[in-house]
Amino acid sequence: MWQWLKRLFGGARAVEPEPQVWNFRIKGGRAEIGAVNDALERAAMAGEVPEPAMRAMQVALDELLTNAIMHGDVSLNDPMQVDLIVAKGALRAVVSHAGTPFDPTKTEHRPDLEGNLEDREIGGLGLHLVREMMDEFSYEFANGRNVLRVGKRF
Amino acid sequence: MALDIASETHGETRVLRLSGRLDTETSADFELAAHDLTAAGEKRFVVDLSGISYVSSAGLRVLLSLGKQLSGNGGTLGLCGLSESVRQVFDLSGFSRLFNISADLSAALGGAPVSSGPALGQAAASLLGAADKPSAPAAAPPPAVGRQAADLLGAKPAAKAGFFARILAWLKGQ
Repeated sequence: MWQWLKRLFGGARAVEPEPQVWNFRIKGGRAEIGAVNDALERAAMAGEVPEPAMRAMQVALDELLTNAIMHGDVSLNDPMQVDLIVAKGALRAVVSHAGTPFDPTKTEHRPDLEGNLEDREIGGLGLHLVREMMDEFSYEFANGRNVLRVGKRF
Repeated sequence: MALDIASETHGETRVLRLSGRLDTETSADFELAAHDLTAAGEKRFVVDLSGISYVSSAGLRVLLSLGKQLSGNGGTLGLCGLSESVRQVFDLSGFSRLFNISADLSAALGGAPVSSGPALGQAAASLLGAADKPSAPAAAPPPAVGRQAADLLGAKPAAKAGFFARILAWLKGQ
């Protein structure tokens, strides 16, 4: 009887879902960034990620991957890697590349958000959006690669 | 979806309806489309963003550039149809107060009747007495809606239902 009850309640207990992970490799084309974000949309929808978290992550990935391609001197022979992770209550991404070491979490530049239309410049806005829209944003240089981690909780 | 640009005129105003993403990959397409029109002398623009899923800084850069150009030559640029996510990007970047932003295309065109598109369909439906029927949404519903619907329909707590069903079955069996 006890064993039977244990089996009944044990079976009914909610099982913590395993994080789902998707891996991508990017050689440096702009279209590849869009393709990753389209895949993110499909993955997020399959993982029941709320739309605001998904959209915020799409913006963050567009900014981080673009920065790496534009300024990181990413080699075509050593593609960037992107891991998308849909976990319980959080959407995360790990971007790694062997380009020029650069820690975007330490940038001093803060964009001017107050100027009028004529005076406004766009520089620095991308990383500003990542900082503001992500709940987690960290960087390390490990094994010769820049490793960026961003996360959005929901 | 990458980016689809539908172009139409309403009187003196050029309306560009964008659908898809406005990001690093696609913003150049929008920039070129706008450039072709400004080069042809057009000065009054409304950009309808209701079909846009997200805007990154690359998209903001093109909107800023177009806004500066039109402001400098006596033109106008109105934006409308910003989703919640797009609005957040505008707010965080200080763009919300740089542009004339309207809720929808009809408002962006100064409340004038729109000669085509969803507003006309809604007006026609209203005249035909169909206004109280649910109309087709302008944009695809967010994925969470499906889950909420599933919750409402009792589809989500399937495991719990199974558990209680088993208890009930067990009690009935006693």
